Amino acid sequence: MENLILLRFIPLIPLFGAGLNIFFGSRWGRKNAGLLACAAVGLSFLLSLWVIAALPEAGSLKDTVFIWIESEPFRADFSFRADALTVVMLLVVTGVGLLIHIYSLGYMGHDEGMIRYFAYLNLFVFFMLVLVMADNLLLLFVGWEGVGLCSYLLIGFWHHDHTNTIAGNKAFVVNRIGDFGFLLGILLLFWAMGRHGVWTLDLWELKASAHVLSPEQALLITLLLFFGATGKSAQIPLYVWLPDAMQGPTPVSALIHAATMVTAGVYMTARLYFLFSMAPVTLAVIATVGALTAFFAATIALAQNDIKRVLAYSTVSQLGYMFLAVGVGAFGAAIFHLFTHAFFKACLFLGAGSVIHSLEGEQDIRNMGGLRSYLPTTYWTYLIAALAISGAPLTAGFFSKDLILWQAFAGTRGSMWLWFLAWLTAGLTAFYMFRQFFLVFHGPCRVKESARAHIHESPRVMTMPLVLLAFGAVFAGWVGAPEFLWGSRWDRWLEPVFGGAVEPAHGEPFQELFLMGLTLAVAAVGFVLAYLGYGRAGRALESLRPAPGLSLLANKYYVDEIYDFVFVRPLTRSAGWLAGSFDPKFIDAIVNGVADRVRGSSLFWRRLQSGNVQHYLFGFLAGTLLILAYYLSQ
Amino acid sequence: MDLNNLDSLQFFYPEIVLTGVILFLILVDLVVVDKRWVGYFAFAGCLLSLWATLRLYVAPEGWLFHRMIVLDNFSLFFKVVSLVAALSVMWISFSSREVRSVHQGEYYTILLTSALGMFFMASSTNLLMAYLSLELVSLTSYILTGFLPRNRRSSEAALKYLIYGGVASGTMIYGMSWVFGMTGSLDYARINEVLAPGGMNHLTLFIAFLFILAGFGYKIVFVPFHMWSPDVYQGAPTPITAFLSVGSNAAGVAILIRFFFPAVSRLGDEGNWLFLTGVEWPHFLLYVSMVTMTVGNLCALNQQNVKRLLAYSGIAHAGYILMGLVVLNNEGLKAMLLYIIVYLIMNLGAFLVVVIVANATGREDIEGYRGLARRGAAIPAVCMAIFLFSLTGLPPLAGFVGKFFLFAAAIREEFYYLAVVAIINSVISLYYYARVVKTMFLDEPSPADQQVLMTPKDSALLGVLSSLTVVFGLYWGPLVHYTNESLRFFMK
Amino acid sequence: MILFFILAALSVIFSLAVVFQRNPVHSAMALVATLFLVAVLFLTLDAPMVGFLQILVYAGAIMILFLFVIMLLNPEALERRRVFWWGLGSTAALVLIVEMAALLSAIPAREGRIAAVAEGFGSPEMLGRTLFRDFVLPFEIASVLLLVAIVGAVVLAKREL
Repeated sequence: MENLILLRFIPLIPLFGAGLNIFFGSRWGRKNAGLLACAAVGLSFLLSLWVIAALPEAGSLKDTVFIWIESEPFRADFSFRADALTVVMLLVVTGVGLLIHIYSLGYMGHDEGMIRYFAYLNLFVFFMLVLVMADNLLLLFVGWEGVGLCSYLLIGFWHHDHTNTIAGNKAFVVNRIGDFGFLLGILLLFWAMGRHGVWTLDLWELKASAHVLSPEQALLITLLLFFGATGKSAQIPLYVWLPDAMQGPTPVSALIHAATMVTAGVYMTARLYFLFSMAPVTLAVIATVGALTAFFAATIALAQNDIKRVLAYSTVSQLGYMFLAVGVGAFGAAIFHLFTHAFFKACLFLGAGSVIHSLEGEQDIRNMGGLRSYLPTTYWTYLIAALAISGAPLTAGFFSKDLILWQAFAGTRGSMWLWFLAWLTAGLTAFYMFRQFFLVFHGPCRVKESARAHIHESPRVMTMPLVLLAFGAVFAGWVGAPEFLWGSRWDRWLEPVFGGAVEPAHGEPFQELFLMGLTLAVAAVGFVLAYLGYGRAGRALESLRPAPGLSLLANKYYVDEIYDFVFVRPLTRSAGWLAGSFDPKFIDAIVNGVADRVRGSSLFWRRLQSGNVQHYLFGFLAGTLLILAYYLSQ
Repeated sequence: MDLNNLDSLQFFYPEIVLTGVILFLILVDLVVVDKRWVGYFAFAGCLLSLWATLRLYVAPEGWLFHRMIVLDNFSLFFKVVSLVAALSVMWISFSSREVRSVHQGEYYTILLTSALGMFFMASSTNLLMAYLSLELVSLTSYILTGFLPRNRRSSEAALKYLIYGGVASGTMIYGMSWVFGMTGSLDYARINEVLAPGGMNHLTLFIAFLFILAGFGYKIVFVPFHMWSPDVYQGAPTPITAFLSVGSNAAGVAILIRFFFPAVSRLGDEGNWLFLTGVEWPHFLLYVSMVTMTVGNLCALNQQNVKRLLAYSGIAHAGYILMGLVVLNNEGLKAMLLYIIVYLIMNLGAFLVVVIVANATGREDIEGYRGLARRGAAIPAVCMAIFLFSLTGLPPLAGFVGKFFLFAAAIREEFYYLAVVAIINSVISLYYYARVVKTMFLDEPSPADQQVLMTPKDSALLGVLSSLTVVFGLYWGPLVHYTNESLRFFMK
Repeated sequence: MILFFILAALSVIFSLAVVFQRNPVHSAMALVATLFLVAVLFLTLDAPMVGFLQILVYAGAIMILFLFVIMLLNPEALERRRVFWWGLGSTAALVLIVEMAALLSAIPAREGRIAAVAEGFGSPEMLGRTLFRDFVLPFEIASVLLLVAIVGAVVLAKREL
């Protein structure tokens, strides 16, 4: 561990940018506010690169800003720490974040609330960086809550529209449910460690002394922590907020709801891998939840018609992959997929944003089509990203997804069933991605006549990030190639973090090659089916007629309705009863009674305050005598 | 260190500077044409004095002027507090419409004299000095309260204050004369020596201390010596109300602690204080504390005038502060000092917003705050909400930290019912603070309500105070450190 | 001793008169008499300096000022107060008297323990020494206090300067 004062500036610069824009943004105008925000994140990005260069071999960097809470024997500092895992996250948050900031300059250029938007966005980057750089769980929790807050603010950014506000509230409430579990987990961990005489929440100290926990304690703690992760990272059962979160501006969806914030749960589990490794049952739960979520969300994505919703379910599905990797103990693979996913999913979202932007707000893919010639840059970048997410050979998604599938199959905690679900999902992914791709870019143009004249490629400030992200979508995965190609630098990079926790998957190279072939095959089948269904000219329109079997999917398995029926309705109904009859008749009677008494005595005291100074002096005398009387009565 | 008059002067610069500035202001007021300069001179003088005070932190501790006053961290703490209060109040006064209508020279002169009086209140170790310093603060407060010309409420408040204060300080000096009669000395250390073996008549001692407490109590504003405060707070010019509520209150706490701890108690092991035989004041202060916070909060519930509301809330806070006294140990005293800083910041902030609103609209009633957030004053409204929630003691604001340490001190000494009463009181207080917040944010402004704009000066101070309220709520380490360091008495 | 009792009794009677007289001028005159008697008490206690100051400052200067103010304002004789306040006031007074009595009886008699008075006690020289050496700081503060009081009085009394 070495000290590096530089570390604190990585999060603080965006915070500073946010503060400046909040207080003075209106003074220097929208354009400069946007540039300032970009510059702030850009600086953080450069500093992150510096940190990577400065990172000692197999060590970490630390920067204590100040002592935050000191209460012997417990102490929590406001301090940041960077190790190999952190810098990966730093790259994603600041790198992808920077591109999305730049993109936003174009996307939000005409919006009234642009200053507010950039202030929020910078604030988000600050909290996200606090989250990934925190050296203790309390600070991590601060970042965790902070990103939730920013997400809430940005989902409901266009708050004039009521549905946006509702979506924001939904995200907030669902996240709070998860956060509650997370907080309970932290407290339980704190308490349990304290019982063993270790009063700490410092992540590195925890790592060193976590072995004192009993298996039961570890099980309960990790389950609670994972519950928190399902909220933030949109897993079963708490994934429902993410599709609705698409109401926010599209760059926000790209940054917060695809590339960074939703991966916080994955980061947290990876960061606390030593705890999770102690609880095999929790890992099994995580693997199952991850695989199921991946499959489940992918099926829903098959039948969605909103361009962003497809991507949202796809995000849920990909996050499922990451948790599957965590669950089988392949933490490095999970982070690897997180890394590559950030590029291609951000690229997809920004591409979708470019489409929406050019169609002036249209989001329904049934009203698109044939946009290839209008939006060439968007088209090509979208294609690359779609190939990457489908796992086409030598793209980033190919390497990372393949690694997860291999670990799910051959890892010590893997199983046939997990692999099978993930394998099916790979096929589904290719299908829904290319279904969308063909519907948007190929076939006849179904855009309304009135709008067709306005279709135009987005400005350079928006396409440039797309191109860069598309590059990432191809090459970001090359650092983690399997052994039989040129070998993975990734594992070596993360070696000091996860150490021996990851047991190498046992299996023959030919087995791995065979599985890879199977995956490619299923993806190809998905692609071909999508082409047959939607890619050929003339087929597209009729295939859009709702098929009876798909209504279940189109309606997202009615999960929202089920939640509504099982949780929300009874709650609102009982709340209604409480508010309608119980509250006025019982609680109010008590509260009002107390309040009346309180107010009554208030009146009494006020009457004493007559304004007559002689009365005041009498009060003085009487009070003194009363005290004396009390003394004498003792 | 026990210095004679001439040797003492080298540790007396802050007071000398202040006195010099006071005399200078009286003269300069006759000369300068632009009267605003008087205020700026006063401000600069205060800054100079603050600098001189801070320099004394490296000086050795000891008695000055034949044991009249003492130089220790405790007195320096309160000197800094009163200077900060005076500086802030002057800053508020610069743009206050009320203050613009009064004689600038005299206003700032008397304000500075009041600060000087607080200096001596914090440092006196002699009953005569204690009395004189208290009178100095009282007298200046009376004058400042009645400063508004042609304002009946202001004059009436001043008169009430004068009469009440006169009786209170008369009672106090009567009690002091008893102490002098029994111990034959005015010097705190000597009094301690004489009282230590016991043998004095308990009742006599009790009555003497009770009378002295009456004088201190009316400065701190606790029940039953509180009744002057609502009228005075409401009638006085608002910056002065702010000054009384934080400065005068803090100085009262200083003189109280100085008298009841180093003078008539004994420091035992591990920071626990033992009261001398027969001086069993903590018992009834326990009840005084509870009654004070309850009365303050109950009376505040139905107030329509914000200044009056803050007056009652001030009484309630005096009750909270007393909690630290009752527990009889250094933890409690540290919590008190911490609370004084926190209260200084948030209460000054609240009064600043009152001044900003009054400058624009001339109104001080809660109705005048309707829809403030939508009348061009979103930032003051948000800051006011921060200050009020901090006064309530909600996390993550400074007020929470202050209350937390006080409650913790009470709970640690197993005064559970005291803590429970205090917590219930905090809940009650939420009601009336939140009412103001609700009025500012949720009520629609009526078309007749004016826009509220701030001057840059006001917004600067507002920014400082509100960010301090938030920052200390999250990061109280240095604050705790400072108060821990400040609790050092020079006794022998 | 007898002298003391006579003086004490007289001063008590006159102070009661201050309170009970309804004509303010009579009250003031009674106060003068009380202060004068207290001054005599000081003289009997070997404190001639304090005694004379008492007469000069209080009975002389301050009381004359009082009388001026009273005559300038020329107030009507006060109306009879309500019985309630009478009752309260006298009860409070009674309680105080009882307390005092209880106190005095509790203090052990100090016969033969009257402190010997130092040479020159109460003399102007002694007073000067004490005032300007040990108590110079309070003395200075008192002067600041008076200065401010004058400034304040002027400001408050004369609104249009």
